[in-house]
Amino acid sequence: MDHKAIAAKDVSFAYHEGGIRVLRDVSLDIPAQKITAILGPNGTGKTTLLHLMLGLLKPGSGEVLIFGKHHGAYSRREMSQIMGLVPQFESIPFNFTVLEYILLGRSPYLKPFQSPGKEDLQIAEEALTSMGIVGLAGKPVSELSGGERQLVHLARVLAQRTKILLLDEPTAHLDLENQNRILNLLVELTERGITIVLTTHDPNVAVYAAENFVLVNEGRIYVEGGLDTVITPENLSTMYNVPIHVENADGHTMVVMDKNG
Amino acid sequence: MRRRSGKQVFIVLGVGTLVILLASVFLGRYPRPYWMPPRLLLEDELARRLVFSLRVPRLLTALLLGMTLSATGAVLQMVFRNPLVEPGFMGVTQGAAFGAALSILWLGKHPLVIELSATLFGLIGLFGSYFLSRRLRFGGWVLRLVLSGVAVSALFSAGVGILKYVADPLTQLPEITFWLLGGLWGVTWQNFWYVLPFALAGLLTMFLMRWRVNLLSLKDETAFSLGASTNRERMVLLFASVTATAALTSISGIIGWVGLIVPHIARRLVGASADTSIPVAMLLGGIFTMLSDDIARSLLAGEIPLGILTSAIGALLFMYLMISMGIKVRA
Amino acid sequence: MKKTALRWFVFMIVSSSLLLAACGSTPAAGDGSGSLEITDTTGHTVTLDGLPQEIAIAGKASVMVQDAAFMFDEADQKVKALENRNQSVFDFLPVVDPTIDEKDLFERDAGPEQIAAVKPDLVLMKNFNKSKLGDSVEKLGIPVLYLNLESPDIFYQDIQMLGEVFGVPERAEEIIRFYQDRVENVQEITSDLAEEEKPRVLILRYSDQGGDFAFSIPPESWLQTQMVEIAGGRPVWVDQGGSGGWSIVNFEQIAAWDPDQIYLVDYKGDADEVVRRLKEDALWASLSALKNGQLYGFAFDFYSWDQPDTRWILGLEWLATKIHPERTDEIDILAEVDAFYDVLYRLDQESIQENVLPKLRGDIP
Repeated sequence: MDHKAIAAKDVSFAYHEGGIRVLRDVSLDIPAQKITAILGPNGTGKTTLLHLMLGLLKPGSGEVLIFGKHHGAYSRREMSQIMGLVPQFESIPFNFTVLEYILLGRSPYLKPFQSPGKEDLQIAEEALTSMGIVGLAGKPVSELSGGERQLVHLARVLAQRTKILLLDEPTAHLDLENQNRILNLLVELTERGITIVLTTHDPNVAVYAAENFVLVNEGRIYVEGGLDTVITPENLSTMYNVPIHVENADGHTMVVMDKNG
Repeated sequence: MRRRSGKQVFIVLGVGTLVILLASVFLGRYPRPYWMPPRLLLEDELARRLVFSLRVPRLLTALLLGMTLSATGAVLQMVFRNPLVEPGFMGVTQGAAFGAALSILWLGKHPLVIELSATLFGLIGLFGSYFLSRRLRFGGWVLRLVLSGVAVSALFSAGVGILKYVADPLTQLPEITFWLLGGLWGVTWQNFWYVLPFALAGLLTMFLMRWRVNLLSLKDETAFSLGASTNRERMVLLFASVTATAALTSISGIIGWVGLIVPHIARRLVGASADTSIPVAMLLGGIFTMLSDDIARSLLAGEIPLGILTSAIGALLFMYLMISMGIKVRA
Repeated sequence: MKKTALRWFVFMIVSSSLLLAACGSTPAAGDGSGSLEITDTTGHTVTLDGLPQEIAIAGKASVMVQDAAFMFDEADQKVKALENRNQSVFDFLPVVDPTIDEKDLFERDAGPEQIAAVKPDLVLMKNFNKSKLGDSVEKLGIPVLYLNLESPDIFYQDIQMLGEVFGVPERAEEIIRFYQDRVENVQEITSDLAEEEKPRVLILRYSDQGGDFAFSIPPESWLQTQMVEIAGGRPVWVDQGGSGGWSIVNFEQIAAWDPDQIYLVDYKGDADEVVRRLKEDALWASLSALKNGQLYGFAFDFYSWDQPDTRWILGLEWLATKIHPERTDEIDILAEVDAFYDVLYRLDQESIQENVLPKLRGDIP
């Protein structure tokens, strides 16, 4: 039980009572201190699954356990110190500086009427350093490039010092260099003992970073497990409805679309 | 504008507020237009009485009014993620004026009853605007909220007009100009003491929760992940700010533009983080309103409605800010 | 293609101009002969088919117009419709004309259609109703005449016009003489006063504010200013660059003026009550006027005597007795009230005793 950071058991969820169920009978285990990639086409309920893990949404049936306990067993404060989220689309309507935004990550540790103090500032600056973006501290967020912005989001969540990180499509809209950077950082984080769950629609991103894979299709878990179990041409072709090859080049697995059918 | 250290700006503004408060005490129409020599306080009993029974409560009320409107504007802008809202665009001040007028006519003239009625209708105005905006199918989020807010505000303004016209043949209500254009000419110590607890409660709440306001300006999922109970915290903030605004509106009439423009200027000075921008907005708003009221009561023999001055100055500043690309809004 | 477009364009321009020209000319008021032409003090002229028999009085401040019209006997017969602006229509006019409730009554702020519905052959209004109401009524073919009333000279002209309307110019002369005699009387009394001998006077209108007072001053152009001047006072509110209506002043300004005399006007009729409260107020007590007992409620019977209503003459005389009591021994206000209602409204003594005297308010000796 200990090395399951998150466990879902027979979870079903619909946004409206009696409406279409976005997720059906989902059961999965997220191992601790590893990267799990939730893979699937767009619109299959990956974000909903993340929100259920976060506790933002409650399952219609079934249960979600964090380190063996229900969400209800934790206070909001405790929960936010355990789990952090980098959403797919973050919009920041007001022009905070990068540092101010990252400091928001310290909120779970602040008392109701408290503002961040020296220690929080230090932690935020450390987060900046580990992302390699110290120079951006005073820059207004509206002036950041796409790649910089994603690094900043990640820095915020680092400052949050959580044991589990949820990331929704962290590499979408990023160029290769930034994709690479982010994924390497994530791998580094697991070496420090953090559990990472990321969703992506790109199999190569999953393959590059993750050790555990979950394929989600039409609201159901198609298959779950390690690289060899999950990343097979049969699984992927069925899921994406496109002929797919899995190649191996110099020990690196690659997922390739088959031109010749 | 370059950003300056929040603390420094706050201290400068704090000093500025005191200076202006003190200077305004000697500004008025007695014994001559504008400046009264301080020595007169010692010599002339009427001057003493005038200053302490009329000018001081009025100045303090103007200060509270400015602080409340600005803080409420800043909070509304961040909670609704919309830089174009203020209590006067979201049905709050108009709803409060309607509630106060209704109370004076039919429910009772006791200040507490008036305040309750004003708060109730202020809240109806606010939530009416919000829920109406969710049903609109036109334009982006920012635009929808502003449109519905303006509509609800207009409705309540009309309501005040109707109350005055139809239900008030014996002239129980203040003149319609008072409600719709605002003014502090009748303010007494009694008004001030009744309004003070509500204003302080609201201001204190907004001040203490100013960091949380930053959090609430993020998307719900992010705020949730950072431990915010978004709905509950938003309710507390909105309730506190509307209560304070309603209390002030019931004695000042509808004063607009302060809540829109001052938070923008504050953010330009010290950055967007509510941690510093809300306290700075409070002080800036207080200064702005005190100065406007100084003009309203001293410039001419006749009183100029305060709302006209805040609209004129506020609208000009707003135009300047928009033209200089200070306000970036995705409509 | 271009040529036809151009031709259509020219055609549109020409035909719209013709249409506009046609609309611009108002249909002639009254039809046929157009035997009677009357011009009012605003310079507006109407052509009538003989004396009007079905007159309506409407618009804001119609009370003043009514009171002026009913100084003529003929009004009982010829005024057919009045506006019910508030209960006061039934206060004064029934005393003058017992058949008042047989007349048509408009709702407050009646529009041109309602006025047209009673088919008047002439409508009388106060001058400031012209653009909002009068012009629209005239477009319906009904002639409108305006009364100004804002200064003694203009008042006399307005009365002369009413004399023409009712076909009794001699009566108009009688009325005008009544006023002129009294105005000249007051002017004689005050004409040789030096500036310093004229007290500084302030007229304040009181209005309620849900518990607090608000005081306003009249604009310089209004009758109140001239009344004070003729009565031998110096109105302190002139040269203020004032507005078009009552403007609110705060206590500081009143204290800065520190007038010798303050007159409090309350259109609801509670001036006495307000005066009493002010006398007890610590702040007001320090004003010279209060210290010298020179705060007065403006005299009032059915209406306040300070307005361009017919009662302004009483207001003028009353002001004179208050501003220069040492010179106005021979003005007996009660006798003047008697004369006013007798000559101008043909009320008998009994009626005056019963209906008018009980309504007297303000500081009348």
